[in-house]
Amino acid sequence: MAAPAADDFRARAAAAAGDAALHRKLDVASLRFLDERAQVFAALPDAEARRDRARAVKAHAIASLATLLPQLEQRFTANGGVVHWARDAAEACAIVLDIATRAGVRLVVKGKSMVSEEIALNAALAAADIEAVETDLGEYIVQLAGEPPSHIITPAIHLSQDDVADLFARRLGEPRHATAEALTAAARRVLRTKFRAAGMGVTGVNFASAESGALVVVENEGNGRMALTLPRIHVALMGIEKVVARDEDLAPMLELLPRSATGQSLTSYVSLVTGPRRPDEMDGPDEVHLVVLDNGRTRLLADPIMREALYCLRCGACLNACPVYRRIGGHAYGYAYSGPIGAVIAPALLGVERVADLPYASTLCGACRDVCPVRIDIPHLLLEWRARIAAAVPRSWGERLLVRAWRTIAASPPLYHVATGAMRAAFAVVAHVPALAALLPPLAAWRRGRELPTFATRPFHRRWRERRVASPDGA
Amino acid sequence: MARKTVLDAVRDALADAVVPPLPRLARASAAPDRHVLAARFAREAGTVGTIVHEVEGLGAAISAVAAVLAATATSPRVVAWPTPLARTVATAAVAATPGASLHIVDDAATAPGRDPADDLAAVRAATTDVIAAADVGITEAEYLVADSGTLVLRAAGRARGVSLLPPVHVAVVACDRLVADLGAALAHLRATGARDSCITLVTGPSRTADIEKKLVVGVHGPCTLHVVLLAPPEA
Amino acid sequence: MDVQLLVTCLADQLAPEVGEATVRLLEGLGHRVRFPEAQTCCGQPAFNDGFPDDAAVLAARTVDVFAAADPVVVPSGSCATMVRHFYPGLLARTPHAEAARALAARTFELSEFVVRVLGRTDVGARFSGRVTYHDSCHLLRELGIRDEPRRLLAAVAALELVEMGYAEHCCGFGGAFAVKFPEVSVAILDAKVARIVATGAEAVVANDTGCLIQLAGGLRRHGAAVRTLHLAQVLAPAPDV
Repeated sequence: MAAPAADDFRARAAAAAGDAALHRKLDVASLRFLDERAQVFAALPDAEARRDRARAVKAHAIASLATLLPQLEQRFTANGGVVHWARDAAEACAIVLDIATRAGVRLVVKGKSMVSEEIALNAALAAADIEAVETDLGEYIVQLAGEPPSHIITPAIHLSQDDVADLFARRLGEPRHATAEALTAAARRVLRTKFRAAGMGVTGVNFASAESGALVVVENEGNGRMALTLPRIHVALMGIEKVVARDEDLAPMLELLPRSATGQSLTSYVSLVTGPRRPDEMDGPDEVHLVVLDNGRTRLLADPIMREALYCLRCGACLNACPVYRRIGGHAYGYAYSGPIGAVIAPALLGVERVADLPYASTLCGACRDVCPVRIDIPHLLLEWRARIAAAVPRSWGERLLVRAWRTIAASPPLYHVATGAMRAAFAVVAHVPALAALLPPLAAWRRGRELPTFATRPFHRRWRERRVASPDGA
Repeated sequence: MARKTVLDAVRDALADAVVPPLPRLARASAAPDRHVLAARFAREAGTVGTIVHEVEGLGAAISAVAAVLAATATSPRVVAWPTPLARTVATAAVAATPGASLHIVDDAATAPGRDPADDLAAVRAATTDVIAAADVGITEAEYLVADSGTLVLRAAGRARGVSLLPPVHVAVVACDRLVADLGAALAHLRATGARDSCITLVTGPSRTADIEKKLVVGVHGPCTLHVVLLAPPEA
Repeated sequence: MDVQLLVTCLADQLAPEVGEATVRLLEGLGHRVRFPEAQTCCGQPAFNDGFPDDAAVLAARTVDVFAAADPVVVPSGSCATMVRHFYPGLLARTPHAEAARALAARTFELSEFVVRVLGRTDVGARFSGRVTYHDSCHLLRELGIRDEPRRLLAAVAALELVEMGYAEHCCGFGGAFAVKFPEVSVAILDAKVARIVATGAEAVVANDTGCLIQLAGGLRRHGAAVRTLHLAQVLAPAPDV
């Protein structure tokens, strides 16, 4: 996952687009997410003003990172925690590995963390012979299946209940055709022993307050609480963009994240972690480490246009809203962050050459921006990437030629009429001899699953001229 | 090294950035009447599957908890926080429940009778074993957030596991702990200067919808959450 | 009043009857339609494909072509969006900046113009049959027009409007997207076609020629007996023969 073959995006997207079973599974979850999100926002008083406030909180925080990050570090350290800085994925993995090795940790339990997926921590731990167990049910399922997650919030969205039952039968010896309840109970049973035996718990961080040094971990299952309570060491992984200025800024964020992610007013559990167990506390970790990760984020930060992508709360609402995501799923994107927001941040985090197709994988329908709790203008950012790719990536030259030709044609009405006349003729020929469409790749592409439109024999321009001639005074 | 590189990159990246003002956050004006808050809490908590028992007076609270214990197991093993209300209610409720046993989770490190030669980590692990084997965990809550039906749990002087490991969690809370919204709860907490290693917000039992979006209640945390909302006896 | 028609290149070439219906509708409501004949393409394809400089050339000439002070009516949500939302930014640091802002301020999508500017919802049209309405993405989410077309349709005599599920979901056209990712575009379209067919409507109405050719292509491929109609074609009086 750290070095995804994201450049095969087209082929994977095309394959997934033909997978009707995948579409059914994606629809089951994403449409319900969308419906429930719509309901819970409709019921929230001043929802739009709250979105504005949440965006303002993030805008302030991102522009103030240079002061907030050191402040967070100072508070977190004063609270007894240890802060580590990682420039990239390899450094972040090395830090976690070092903490684990020093403490002789053999088993790590993991709460859900997209950063962990981003840096491919499990592979790094496995290479050092340390077992890492995912404990979020969805993450556990995809780990058993040997797959990466395919959705930010619902990692196993691409698997049906029967798929999971088959998997648990194979890997855990559970009976086939188990219900969702039975499968969940099986995971609870297996993972309870892991929680008790693990020497280290790893979680993500949804928000951090620079004011108090608190790390906020949002979840529903209780696995995050287990991971940050039971093992002797808790390691929290956090991108630099997660810090906000004040404790009171957490409330507006907590108000919107669960509503956007799962249609809940609040998740079952929110932990505000400020450090290791105090002397008068009866459980909790002896050590708490915070790993602060850059891994390309400062490239987004340095970009005044793309910077707002760092406001993202990782709620996954834009995935559910995206017509493209709903037909190809998360795996096609080849990266931990999929969907519209993935298409915006992947070019910055991975390098635009490697994922140059992603920004084009959108109809620019705007549904992502409509559901984004902090109103990230994703279509605008995708257009911006397209402009940069067109200007910089050599394979756009053929397209540039076409666009330049159309620009020249459309800039001159006589040329426009001649050229569109030629197009009409070409379409008429193809209509009679469909095999000829193969000579014109865009027409061949269109005919895959659709009938070609027919050009009018008399375009509107000509009809208007004829009418003008017939009645010179107009209507 | 990495620290300097990352922070330098952040500073360079933001050299041209204008910091927009922090938004003014809406604060609940005058706190609504306790009955209004209690009704709102009960409604919101109910929608996420929390079972709310509104009772008047300590005796009624004890009866409510005893009823939960009796319904949970034939000889329920109970763990409870050592805080006064939890201790009192748990002790009386267990006494009223045939076969029930109670372990008040005190600080194992300072518990009377502990052999100082004992390995502290082993003592803690043994305590966690007891909590994990329990059928019911009884706690209090620092605040109840009416708007979202949320319990705010502190860690100081307590074991977090009591609200996490047993399949049934019962929180006994006096209704003067009700606040309107999460912002108010966080502000109160700050004002008290709490230095707990962890503040936990609990809104309903543990749940998942990771398989085909089907809601399953009771994953890693409790399957059932009761809140005994204790009002003083009406005069 | 006098109204300038921006017919859009897509309607010009693929659906001139939409332009004609728009003219009949506006004239039927008592307005005079001007058609600046130098108009070609608004530049949206280049803009959406990442060529803003090329788009700006076409934007600038479109601003010149529609220099008259009369309101501009566009029977397309996406081309209206291009002029209204993107021209001012595209031409911000050019001699056309002020004219672009002024044009943006007097440009309207057709249903928006009829309902919000002319204040009409009942245009005296008659259409016997059951129709369903597809929300075009730019019309809905860039221009915020959801109710206007529905109110216009609801006022049409003998017309039965039935909502499809998720009418606001994209049809999968997306301009060049339709041929750059044909499999994905078609997969999105197939879901839309199924929802349209499920309504039992005999026609699907939309306000954008782009969506309409996509929908027509899918409906025909599936052999569905559902017509595609632009709103103007439902609302306009029958042509004089």
